Amino acid sequence: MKKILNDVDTIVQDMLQGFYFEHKHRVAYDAQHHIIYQKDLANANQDVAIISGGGSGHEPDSFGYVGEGMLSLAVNGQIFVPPTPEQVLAAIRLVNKDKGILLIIKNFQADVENFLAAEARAKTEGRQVDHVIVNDDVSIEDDASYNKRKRGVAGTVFVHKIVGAAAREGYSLQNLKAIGEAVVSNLHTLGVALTPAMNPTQSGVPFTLEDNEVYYGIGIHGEKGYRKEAFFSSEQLAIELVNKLKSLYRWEEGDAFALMINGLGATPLMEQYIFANDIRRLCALENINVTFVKVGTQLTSLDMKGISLSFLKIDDPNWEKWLKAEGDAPHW
Amino acid sequence: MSASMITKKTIANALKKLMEKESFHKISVSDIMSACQMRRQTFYYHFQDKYELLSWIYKEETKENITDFLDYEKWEIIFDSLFYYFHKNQRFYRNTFKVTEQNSFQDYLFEHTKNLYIKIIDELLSESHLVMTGVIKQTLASFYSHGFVGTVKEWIENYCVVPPSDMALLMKHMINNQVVLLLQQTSDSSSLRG
Repeated sequence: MKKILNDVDTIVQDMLQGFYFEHKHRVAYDAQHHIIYQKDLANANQDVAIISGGGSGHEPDSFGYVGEGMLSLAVNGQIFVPPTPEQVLAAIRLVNKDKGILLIIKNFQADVENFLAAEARAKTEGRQVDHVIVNDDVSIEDDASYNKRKRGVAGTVFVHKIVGAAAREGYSLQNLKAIGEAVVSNLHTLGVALTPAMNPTQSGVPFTLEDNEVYYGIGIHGEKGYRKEAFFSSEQLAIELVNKLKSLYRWEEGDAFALMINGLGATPLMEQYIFANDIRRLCALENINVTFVKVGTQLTSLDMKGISLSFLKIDDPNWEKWLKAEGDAPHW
Repeated sequence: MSASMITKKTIANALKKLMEKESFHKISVSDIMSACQMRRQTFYYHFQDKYELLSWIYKEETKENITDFLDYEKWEIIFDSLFYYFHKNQRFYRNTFKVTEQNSFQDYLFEHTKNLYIKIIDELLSESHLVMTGVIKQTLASFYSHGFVGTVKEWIENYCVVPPSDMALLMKHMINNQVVLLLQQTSDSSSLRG
Protein backbone atom coordinates (compact mmCIF):
# COMPACT_ATOMS: atom_id res chain seq x y z
CA MET A 1 0.00 0.00 0.00
CA LYS A 2 1.51 3.30 -1.10
CA LYS A 3 0.53 6.31 1.03
CA ILE A 4 2.17 9.71 1.17
CA LEU A 5 3.06 9.62 4.84
CA ASN A 6 5.98 8.95 7.14
CA ASP A 7 5.19 7.58 10.55
CA VAL A 8 1.72 6.14 11.10
CA ASP A 9 1.87 7.32 14.73
CA THR A 10 2.32 10.98 13.80
CA ILE A 11 -0.11 11.24 10.89
CA VAL A 12 -2.44 13.72 12.61
CA GLN A 13 0.31 16.00 13.93
CA ASP A 14 2.11 15.98 10.57
CA MET A 15 -1.09 16.84 8.72
CA LEU A 16 -2.05 19.65 11.11
CA GLN A 17 1.45 21.15 10.96
CA GLY A 18 1.15 21.14 7.19
CA PHE A 19 -2.22 22.86 7.31
CA TYR A 20 -0.90 25.43 9.79
CA PHE A 21 2.11 26.08 7.52
CA GLU A 22 -0.35 27.02 4.78
CA HIS A 23 -2.76 29.06 6.93
CA LYS A 24 -0.72 30.57 9.78
CA HIS A 25 -1.62 34.09 8.71
CA ARG A 26 -5.21 33.42 9.76
CA VAL A 27 -5.29 30.43 12.11
CA ALA A 28 -3.51 29.39 15.29
CA TYR A 29 -2.50 25.87 16.20
CA ASP A 30 -2.47 24.25 19.64
CA ALA A 31 -0.07 21.40 18.91
CA GLN A 32 -0.54 19.77 22.30
CA HIS A 33 -4.29 19.34 21.91
CA HIS A 34 -4.49 19.24 18.11
CA ILE A 35 -6.70 22.30 17.87
CA ILE A 36 -6.86 24.63 14.87
CA TYR A 37 -8.59 27.93 15.66
CA GLN A 38 -9.15 31.42 14.38
CA LYS A 39 -6.10 33.57 15.10
CA ASP A 40 -8.16 36.56 16.14
CA LEU A 41 -10.52 34.46 18.26
CA ALA A 42 -10.24 36.85 21.22
CA ASN A 43 -11.36 39.81 19.11
CA ALA A 44 -14.02 37.98 17.10
CA ASN A 45 -17.09 40.17 16.90
CA GLN A 46 -19.60 37.51 17.92
CA ASP A 47 -21.07 36.37 21.23
CA VAL A 48 -20.80 32.64 20.61
CA ALA A 49 -17.83 30.55 19.49
CA ILE A 50 -18.58 27.51 17.33
CA ILE A 51 -16.50 24.40 18.05
CA SER A 52 -16.56 21.21 16.03
CA GLY A 53 -14.26 18.32 15.38
CA GLY A 54 -14.06 14.59 15.54
CA GLY A 55 -11.84 11.83 14.35
CA SER A 56 -9.33 12.55 11.60
CA GLY A 57 -9.67 10.98 8.16
CA HIS A 58 -12.59 13.19 7.08
CA GLU A 59 -10.57 16.14 5.76
CA PRO A 60 -11.19 18.91 4.95
CA ASP A 61 -13.76 18.49 7.77
CA SER A 62 -13.41 20.03 10.19
CA PHE A 63 -10.26 22.18 10.37
CA GLY A 64 -10.78 23.29 6.78
CA TYR A 65 -13.92 25.10 7.94
CA VAL A 66 -12.22 27.21 10.58
CA GLY A 67 -12.73 30.78 9.50
CA GLU A 68 -14.91 33.83 9.76
CA GLY A 69 -18.57 32.94 9.42
CA MET A 70 -18.00 29.24 10.03
CA LEU A 71 -16.09 27.40 12.78
CA SER A 72 -14.16 29.20 15.52
CA LEU A 73 -12.21 26.10 16.54
CA ALA A 74 -11.76 22.52 15.32
CA VAL A 75 -10.51 19.73 17.61
CA ASN A 76 -8.86 16.77 15.90
CA GLY A 77 -8.75 13.21 17.14
CA GLN A 78 -6.72 10.32 15.75
CA ILE A 79 -7.92 8.55 12.58
CA PHE A 80 -11.59 7.67 13.05
CA VAL A 81 -11.23 8.25 16.81
CA PRO A 82 -12.86 11.33 18.35
CA PRO A 83 -10.86 13.81 20.41
CA THR A 84 -10.73 13.14 24.14
CA PRO A 85 -12.81 15.19 26.58
CA GLU A 86 -9.52 16.85 27.63
CA GLN A 87 -8.87 18.00 24.07
CA VAL A 88 -12.40 19.40 23.71
CA LEU A 89 -12.13 21.09 27.13
CA ALA A 90 -8.83 22.64 26.04
CA ALA A 91 -10.63 24.06 22.99
CA ILE A 92 -13.38 25.51 25.17
CA ARG A 93 -10.77 27.14 27.41
CA LEU A 94 -9.23 28.92 24.43
CA VAL A 95 -12.45 30.95 24.11
CA ASN A 96 -12.92 34.16 26.16
CA LYS A 97 -14.83 33.49 29.36
CA ASP A 98 -17.59 35.97 28.51
CA LYS A 99 -18.59 34.12 25.33
CA GLY A 100 -21.04 31.31 24.80
CA ILE A 101 -19.88 28.09 23.15
CA LEU A 102 -21.79 25.83 20.79
CA LEU A 103 -20.42 22.34 20.09
CA ILE A 104 -21.35 20.73 16.78
CA ILE A 105 -21.09 16.96 17.25
CA LYS A 106 -21.45 14.18 14.71
CA ASN A 107 -23.76 11.52 16.11
CA PHE A 108 -21.33 8.71 16.84
CA GLN A 109 -21.48 7.30 20.33
CA ALA A 110 -17.85 8.02 21.27
CA ASP A 111 -17.98 11.53 19.78
CA VAL A 112 -21.14 12.37 21.68
CA GLU A 113 -19.78 10.96 24.96
CA ASN A 114 -16.48 12.82 24.73
CA PHE A 115 -17.93 16.16 23.68
CA LEU A 116 -20.68 16.01 26.30
CA ALA A 117 -18.19 15.05 29.03
CA ALA A 118 -16.19 18.16 28.10
CA GLU A 119 -19.38 20.25 28.06
CA ALA A 120 -20.29 19.07 31.57
CA ARG A 121 -16.84 19.89 32.93
CA ALA A 122 -16.80 23.29 31.23
CA LYS A 123 -20.12 24.13 32.83
CA THR A 124 -18.64 23.47 36.27
CA GLU A 125 -16.03 26.07 35.33
CA GLY A 126 -18.83 28.55 34.77
CA ARG A 127 -18.89 28.31 30.98
CA GLN A 128 -22.01 28.78 28.89
CA VAL A 129 -21.89 25.69 26.65
CA ASP A 130 -24.50 23.92 24.59
CA HIS A 131 -24.45 21.54 21.62
CA VAL A 132 -26.10 20.38 18.41
CA ILE A 133 -25.90 16.71 17.42
CA VAL A 134 -25.93 16.09 13.68
CA ASN A 135 -27.60 12.86 12.52
CA ASP A 136 -28.16 13.24 8.77
CA ASP A 137 -27.10 9.70 7.75
CA VAL A 138 -30.22 7.90 6.47
CA SER A 139 -28.64 4.59 5.61
CA ILE A 140 -29.74 1.68 7.78
CA GLU A 141 -28.46 -0.07 10.90
CA ASP A 142 -26.67 -3.36 10.35
CA ASP A 143 -29.22 -5.35 12.38
CA ALA A 144 -32.13 -6.25 10.05
CA SER A 145 -34.32 -3.62 11.73
CA TYR A 146 -34.18 -1.21 8.75
CA ASN A 147 -33.94 1.58 11.32
CA LYS A 148 -32.11 4.57 9.95
CA ARG A 149 -28.52 4.79 11.19
CA LYS A 150 -28.70 8.50 12.05
CA ARG A 151 -24.97 9.09 12.33
CA GLY A 152 -23.47 12.47 11.48
CA VAL A 153 -21.98 12.65 7.98
CA ALA A 154 -21.48 15.19 5.16
CA GLY A 155 -24.54 17.26 6.03
CA THR A 156 -22.57 18.38 9.09
CA VAL A 157 -20.77 20.85 6.82
CA PHE A 158 -24.10 22.61 6.12
CA VAL A 159 -24.63 22.88 9.87
CA HIS A 160 -21.15 24.40 10.29
CA LYS A 161 -21.92 26.95 7.60
CA ILE A 162 -25.43 27.95 8.65
CA VAL A 163 -24.75 28.10 12.38
CA GLY A 164 -21.37 29.78 11.81
CA ALA A 165 -22.88 32.51 9.60
CA ALA A 166 -25.72 33.06 12.07
CA ALA A 167 -23.22 33.33 14.94
CA ARG A 168 -21.42 36.08 13.08
CA GLU A 169 -24.72 37.96 12.84
CA GLY A 170 -24.83 37.96 16.64
CA TYR A 171 -27.40 35.28 17.41
CA SER A 172 -27.46 34.03 21.00
CA LEU A 173 -26.32 30.58 22.12
CA GLN A 174 -29.93 29.53 22.67
CA ASN A 175 -30.96 30.71 19.20
CA LEU A 176 -27.98 29.08 17.50
CA LYS A 177 -28.79 25.76 19.12
CA ALA A 178 -32.38 26.06 17.90
CA ILE A 179 -31.23 26.96 14.38
CA GLY A 180 -28.79 24.03 14.34
CA GLU A 181 -31.41 21.57 15.51
CA ALA A 182 -33.99 22.81 13.00
CA VAL A 183 -31.42 22.37 10.21
CA VAL A 184 -30.57 18.85 11.41
CA SER A 185 -34.23 17.82 11.40
CA ASN A 186 -34.48 18.77 7.71
CA LEU A 187 -31.16 17.24 6.63
CA HIS A 188 -30.64 13.81 5.04
CA THR A 189 -27.53 12.26 3.49
CA LEU A 190 -26.97 9.02 1.62
CA GLY A 191 -23.79 7.83 -0.06
CA VAL A 192 -22.42 5.19 -2.38
CA ALA A 193 -18.95 3.61 -2.43
CA LEU A 194 -17.00 2.38 -5.45
CA THR A 195 -14.15 1.20 -3.20
CA PRO A 196 -13.66 0.88 0.56
CA ALA A 197 -11.29 3.21 2.42
CA MET A 198 -7.81 2.03 3.39
CA ASN A 199 -7.09 3.05 6.95
CA PRO A 200 -3.30 3.36 7.36
CA THR A 201 -3.57 2.55 11.08
CA GLN A 202 -5.33 -0.75 10.44
CA SER A 203 -4.78 -3.76 8.26
CA GLY A 204 -7.53 -4.97 6.00
CA VAL A 205 -10.63 -3.20 4.74
CA PRO A 206 -14.10 -3.01 6.32
CA PHE A 207 -15.86 -4.48 3.28
CA THR A 208 -14.94 -5.71 -0.18
CA LEU A 209 -16.46 -5.02 -3.58
CA GLU A 210 -16.07 -6.71 -6.91
CA ASP A 211 -14.48 -4.57 -9.63
CA ASN A 212 -17.84 -3.76 -11.18
CA GLU A 213 -19.77 -3.35 -7.91
CA VAL A 214 -20.98 -0.34 -5.95
CA TYR A 215 -22.28 -0.29 -2.39
CA TYR A 216 -25.16 2.01 -1.45
CA GLY A 217 -25.52 3.46 2.01
CA ILE A 218 -21.98 3.05 3.30
CA GLY A 219 -20.88 5.15 6.29
CA ILE A 220 -17.79 7.34 6.65
CA HIS A 221 -15.83 4.81 8.74
CA GLY A 222 -16.56 1.77 6.61
CA GLU A 223 -20.01 1.12 8.08
CA LYS A 224 -21.87 -1.32 5.87
CA GLY A 225 -24.37 -0.19 3.25
CA TYR A 226 -27.77 -1.58 2.36
CA ARG A 227 -27.20 -2.99 -1.12
CA LYS A 228 -24.40 -3.99 -3.46
CA GLU A 229 -25.11 -4.05 -7.17
CA ALA A 230 -23.34 -4.02 -10.50
CA PHE A 231 -22.33 -0.52 -11.59
CA PHE A 232 -23.24 0.81 -15.01
CA SER A 233 -23.56 4.60 -14.85
CA SER A 234 -23.50 7.76 -12.78
CA GLU A 235 -27.20 8.13 -13.61
CA GLN A 236 -27.94 4.80 -11.93
CA LEU A 237 -26.34 6.06 -8.69
CA ALA A 238 -28.12 9.41 -8.88
CA ILE A 239 -31.52 7.76 -9.44
CA GLU A 240 -31.04 5.34 -6.56
CA LEU A 241 -29.98 8.02 -4.04
CA VAL A 242 -32.62 10.54 -5.13
CA ASN A 243 -35.38 7.92 -4.94
CA LYS A 244 -34.44 7.09 -1.37
CA LEU A 245 -34.29 10.74 -0.30
CA LYS A 246 -37.57 11.40 -2.12
CA SER A 247 -39.28 8.63 -0.16
CA LEU A 248 -38.11 10.16 3.12
CA TYR A 249 -39.11 13.74 2.33
CA ARG A 250 -42.19 13.03 0.22
CA TRP A 251 -41.53 16.42 -1.34
CA GLU A 252 -44.06 18.38 -3.36
CA GLU A 253 -43.35 20.31 -6.54
CA GLY A 254 -41.82 23.67 -5.70
CA ASP A 255 -40.36 22.66 -2.33
CA ALA A 256 -37.00 24.40 -1.77
CA PHE A 257 -33.82 22.44 -1.11
CA ALA A 258 -30.10 23.05 -0.66
CA LEU A 259 -27.95 20.21 -2.04
CA MET A 260 -24.46 18.99 -1.34
CA ILE A 261 -22.65 16.60 -3.63
CA ASN A 262 -19.63 15.39 -1.71
CA GLY A 263 -16.64 13.40 -2.89
CA LEU A 264 -15.71 10.76 -0.30
CA GLY A 265 -11.96 11.13 -0.66
CA ALA A 266 -10.66 9.75 -3.96
CA THR A 267 -13.42 10.87 -6.33
CA PRO A 268 -12.22 13.23 -9.08
CA LEU A 269 -14.09 16.53 -9.37
CA MET A 270 -14.90 15.61 -12.94
CA GLU A 271 -16.95 12.64 -11.70
CA GLN A 272 -18.53 14.74 -8.95
CA TYR A 273 -19.73 17.25 -11.54
CA ILE A 274 -21.03 14.53 -13.87
CA PHE A 275 -23.03 13.17 -10.94
CA ALA A 276 -24.13 16.74 -10.10
CA ASN A 277 -25.46 17.11 -13.63
CA ASP A 278 -27.52 13.93 -13.18
CA ILE A 279 -28.88 15.32 -9.91
CA ARG A 280 -29.73 18.57 -11.70
CA ARG A 281 -31.79 16.70 -14.31
CA LEU A 282 -33.58 14.58 -11.71
CA CYS A 283 -34.45 17.63 -9.60
CA ALA A 284 -35.83 19.30 -12.73
CA LEU A 285 -38.01 16.24 -13.36
CA GLU A 286 -39.26 16.37 -9.78
CA ASN A 287 -39.83 20.09 -10.20
CA ILE A 288 -38.27 20.87 -6.84
CA ASN A 289 -36.68 24.25 -6.27
CA VAL A 290 -32.93 23.89 -5.76
CA THR A 291 -31.82 27.17 -4.19
CA PHE A 292 -28.24 26.26 -3.26
CA VAL A 293 -25.74 23.69 -4.52
CA LYS A 294 -22.32 22.76 -3.17
CA VAL A 295 -20.14 20.34 -5.12
CA GLY A 296 -16.74 19.21 -3.86
CA THR A 297 -14.72 17.10 -1.50
CA GLN A 298 -16.13 18.33 1.82
CA LEU A 299 -16.25 15.46 4.30
CA THR A 300 -14.40 12.31 3.39
CA SER A 301 -13.63 8.79 4.40
CA LEU A 302 -9.86 8.69 3.81
CA ASP A 303 -9.29 7.47 0.24
CA MET A 304 -12.72 6.05 -0.45
CA LYS A 305 -13.93 6.32 -4.02
CA GLY A 306 -17.54 7.31 -3.86
CA ILE A 307 -19.95 10.14 -3.40
CA SER A 308 -22.58 11.30 -0.98
CA LEU A 309 -25.69 13.33 -1.61
CA SER A 310 -27.15 15.61 1.06
CA PHE A 311 -30.51 17.33 0.84
CA LEU A 312 -31.54 20.12 3.20
CA LYS A 313 -35.19 21.09 2.98
CA ILE A 314 -35.22 24.85 3.33
CA ASP A 315 -37.64 25.54 6.16
CA ASP A 316 -36.41 29.06 6.87
CA PRO A 317 -35.25 31.49 4.14
CA ASN A 318 -32.41 32.61 6.40
CA TRP A 319 -30.73 29.23 5.87
CA GLU A 320 -30.26 29.98 2.21
CA LYS A 321 -28.88 33.43 3.08
CA TRP A 322 -26.41 31.93 5.57
CA LEU A 323 -25.30 29.24 3.13
CA LYS A 324 -24.53 31.99 0.63
CA ALA A 325 -22.91 34.37 3.14
CA GLU A 326 -19.30 35.36 2.53
CA GLY A 327 -16.64 33.92 4.82
CA ASP A 328 -13.00 32.94 4.74
CA ALA A 329 -12.98 29.27 5.71
CA PRO A 330 -10.45 27.81 3.23
CA HIS A 331 -12.35 24.68 2.23
CA TRP A 332 -15.94 25.92 2.04
CA MET B 1 -25.22 6.87 -28.38
CA SER B 2 -26.00 4.88 -25.26
CA ALA B 3 -29.49 5.40 -23.93
CA SER B 4 -29.64 7.72 -20.94
CA MET B 5 -31.87 6.56 -18.12
CA ILE B 6 -32.64 10.13 -17.15
CA THR B 7 -33.59 10.99 -20.73
CA LYS B 8 -35.91 7.99 -20.65
CA LYS B 9 -37.37 9.30 -17.41
CA THR B 10 -37.78 12.76 -18.92
CA ILE B 11 -39.67 11.32 -21.89
CA ALA B 12 -41.74 9.14 -19.54
CA ASN B 13 -42.54 12.13 -17.38
CA ALA B 14 -43.78 14.06 -20.42
CA LEU B 15 -46.11 11.18 -21.36
CA LYS B 16 -47.37 10.88 -17.79
CA LYS B 17 -48.16 14.61 -17.65
CA LEU B 18 -49.98 14.49 -21.00
CA MET B 19 -51.96 11.45 -19.90
CA GLU B 20 -53.38 13.33 -16.96
CA LYS B 21 -55.54 15.16 -19.51
CA GLU B 22 -55.51 13.22 -22.77
CA SER B 23 -56.17 9.61 -23.62
CA PHE B 24 -53.14 7.54 -24.65
CA HIS B 25 -54.47 7.05 -28.16
CA LYS B 26 -54.65 10.76 -28.86
CA ILE B 27 -51.04 11.36 -27.81
CA SER B 28 -48.38 11.10 -30.52
CA VAL B 29 -44.62 10.73 -30.20
CA SER B 30 -44.35 14.33 -31.48
CA ASP B 31 -46.66 15.52 -28.69
CA ILE B 32 -44.51 13.75 -26.10
CA MET B 33 -41.24 15.12 -27.45
CA SER B 34 -42.46 18.68 -27.84
CA ALA B 35 -43.75 18.52 -24.26
CA CYS B 36 -40.25 17.71 -23.02
CA GLN B 37 -38.54 19.99 -25.55
CA MET B 38 -36.49 17.31 -27.21
CA ARG B 39 -36.09 16.33 -30.85
CA ARG B 40 -38.53 13.73 -32.10
CA GLN B 41 -35.61 11.56 -33.23
CA THR B 42 -34.35 11.35 -29.63
CA PHE B 43 -37.44 9.35 -28.77
CA TYR B 44 -36.38 6.59 -31.12
CA TYR B 45 -32.89 6.37 -29.59
CA HIS B 46 -34.65 5.26 -26.42
CA PHE B 47 -37.91 3.55 -27.36
CA GLN B 48 -39.35 1.80 -30.39
CA ASP B 49 -42.80 3.27 -29.98
CA LYS B 50 -45.12 4.73 -27.37
CA TYR B 51 -46.29 1.27 -26.30
CA GLU B 52 -42.74 0.34 -25.37
CA LEU B 53 -42.49 3.61 -23.44
CA LEU B 54 -45.65 2.80 -21.50
CA SER B 55 -44.38 -0.64 -20.69
CA TRP B 56 -41.03 0.84 -19.58
CA ILE B 57 -42.85 3.17 -17.17
CA TYR B 58 -44.69 0.24 -15.58
CA LYS B 59 -41.53 -1.79 -15.31
CA GLU B 60 -39.24 0.96 -14.05
CA GLU B 61 -41.61 2.60 -11.59
CA THR B 62 -42.80 -0.63 -9.99
CA LYS B 63 -39.16 -1.72 -9.62
CA GLU B 64 -38.05 1.63 -8.21
CA ASN B 65 -40.96 1.77 -5.77
CA ILE B 66 -40.89 -1.82 -4.57
CA THR B 67 -37.87 -3.99 -5.32
CA ASP B 68 -35.30 -1.20 -4.86
CA PHE B 69 -36.70 -0.61 -1.35
CA LEU B 70 -36.65 -4.22 -0.17
CA ASP B 71 -33.23 -3.90 1.45
CA TYR B 72 -33.76 -0.33 2.66
CA GLU B 73 -37.16 -0.11 4.33
CA LYS B 74 -39.45 -2.06 6.60
CA TRP B 75 -42.16 -3.76 4.55
CA GLU B 76 -44.82 -1.77 6.39
CA ILE B 77 -43.31 1.46 5.08
CA ILE B 78 -43.02 0.05 1.56
CA PHE B 79 -46.81 -0.47 1.58
CA ASP B 80 -47.32 3.10 2.80
CA SER B 81 -45.10 4.50 0.07
CA LEU B 82 -46.65 2.35 -2.61
CA PHE B 83 -50.20 3.50 -1.91
CA TYR B 84 -48.93 7.08 -1.68
CA TYR B 85 -47.30 6.66 -5.11
CA PHE B 86 -50.40 5.21 -6.76
CA HIS B 87 -52.58 7.87 -5.17
CA LYS B 88 -50.32 10.57 -6.62
CA ASN B 89 -50.28 8.91 -10.05
CA GLN B 90 -53.90 7.76 -10.11
CA ARG B 91 -55.03 9.84 -13.10
CA PHE B 92 -52.21 8.45 -15.22
CA TYR B 93 -52.98 4.86 -14.22
CA ARG B 94 -56.76 5.20 -14.70
CA ASN B 95 -55.98 6.37 -18.18
CA THR B 96 -53.52 3.56 -18.92
CA PHE B 97 -56.02 0.88 -17.87
CA LYS B 98 -57.99 1.84 -21.00
CA VAL B 99 -55.03 0.94 -23.22
CA THR B 100 -55.95 -2.59 -24.25
CA GLU B 101 -53.00 -3.11 -26.63
CA GLN B 102 -50.50 -2.81 -23.76
CA ASN B 103 -51.53 -4.02 -20.34
CA SER B 104 -48.28 -5.25 -18.84
CA PHE B 105 -48.97 -3.06 -15.79
CA GLN B 106 -50.43 -5.98 -13.87
CA ASP B 107 -47.57 -8.29 -14.82
CA TYR B 108 -44.90 -5.89 -13.60
CA LEU B 109 -46.75 -4.91 -10.46
CA PHE B 110 -47.32 -8.59 -9.75
CA GLU B 111 -43.66 -9.47 -10.24
CA HIS B 112 -42.41 -6.80 -7.85
CA THR B 113 -45.20 -7.20 -5.30
CA LYS B 114 -44.35 -10.87 -5.16
CA ASN B 115 -40.75 -9.95 -4.25
CA LEU B 116 -42.21 -7.87 -1.45
CA TYR B 117 -44.39 -10.70 -0.15
CA ILE B 118 -41.46 -13.12 -0.27
CA LYS B 119 -39.46 -10.66 1.85
CA ILE B 120 -42.36 -10.39 4.30
CA ILE B 121 -42.79 -14.16 4.57
CA ASP B 122 -39.05 -14.67 5.02
CA GLU B 123 -38.92 -12.08 7.79
CA LEU B 124 -41.99 -13.52 9.54
CA LEU B 125 -40.61 -17.05 9.30
CA SER B 126 -37.27 -16.00 10.68
CA GLU B 127 -38.89 -14.04 13.55
CA SER B 128 -40.98 -17.03 14.57
CA HIS B 129 -38.26 -19.64 13.85
CA LEU B 130 -40.48 -21.45 11.35
CA VAL B 131 -39.55 -23.08 8.08
CA MET B 132 -41.51 -23.58 4.87
CA THR B 133 -40.72 -25.14 1.50
CA GLY B 134 -39.90 -22.84 -1.39
CA VAL B 135 -42.90 -23.99 -3.40
CA ILE B 136 -45.36 -23.22 -0.62
CA LYS B 137 -43.74 -19.85 -0.03
CA GLN B 138 -44.00 -19.00 -3.74
CA THR B 139 -47.65 -20.08 -3.80
CA LEU B 140 -48.50 -17.99 -0.78
CA ALA B 141 -46.67 -14.94 -2.16
CA SER B 142 -48.43 -15.38 -5.52
CA PHE B 143 -51.83 -15.59 -3.87
CA TYR B 144 -51.37 -12.35 -1.96
CA SER B 145 -49.73 -10.57 -4.89
CA HIS B 146 -52.61 -11.41 -7.23
CA GLY B 147 -54.97 -10.09 -4.61
CA PHE B 148 -52.87 -6.97 -4.15
CA VAL B 149 -52.65 -6.17 -7.87
CA GLY B 150 -56.39 -6.60 -8.40
CA THR B 151 -57.18 -4.55 -5.32
CA VAL B 152 -54.89 -1.69 -6.35
CA LYS B 153 -56.34 -1.64 -9.86
CA GLU B 154 -59.89 -1.53 -8.58
CA TRP B 155 -59.01 1.12 -6.01
CA ILE B 156 -57.55 3.35 -8.75
CA GLU B 157 -60.50 2.71 -11.07
CA ASN B 158 -62.80 3.77 -8.23
CA TYR B 159 -60.96 7.09 -7.83
CA CYS B 160 -59.05 6.08 -4.70
CA VAL B 161 -62.02 6.84 -2.47
CA VAL B 162 -60.45 4.99 0.45
CA PRO B 163 -57.46 7.07 1.66
CA PRO B 164 -54.04 5.58 0.77
CA SER B 165 -53.06 5.29 4.44
CA ASP B 166 -56.20 3.22 5.13
CA MET B 167 -55.43 0.96 2.19
CA ALA B 168 -51.88 0.41 3.45
CA LEU B 169 -53.21 -0.31 6.93
CA LEU B 170 -55.59 -2.89 5.55
CA MET B 171 -52.73 -4.71 3.79
CA LYS B 172 -50.62 -4.60 6.96
CA HIS B 173 -53.45 -5.92 9.12
CA MET B 174 -54.05 -8.69 6.64
CA ILE B 175 -50.43 -9.77 6.95
CA ASN B 176 -50.31 -9.47 10.72
CA ASN B 177 -53.65 -11.22 11.28
CA GLN B 178 -53.77 -13.77 8.47
CA VAL B 179 -50.29 -14.50 7.19
CA VAL B 180 -48.71 -14.94 10.60
CA LEU B 181 -51.36 -17.47 11.59
CA LEU B 182 -51.20 -19.12 8.22
CA LEU B 183 -47.44 -19.55 8.43
CA GLN B 184 -47.77 -21.21 11.80
CA GLN B 185 -50.42 -23.62 10.50
CA THR B 186 -48.61 -24.31 7.24
CA SER B 187 -45.35 -24.81 9.02
CA ASP B 188 -46.99 -27.14 11.56
CA SER B 189 -48.22 -29.40 8.80
CA SER B 190 -45.21 -31.66 8.35
CA SER B 191 -45.85 -32.50 4.68
CA LEU B 192 -45.22 -28.83 3.78
CA ARG B 193 -42.14 -28.35 5.87
CA GLY B 194 -38.88 -27.58 4.09
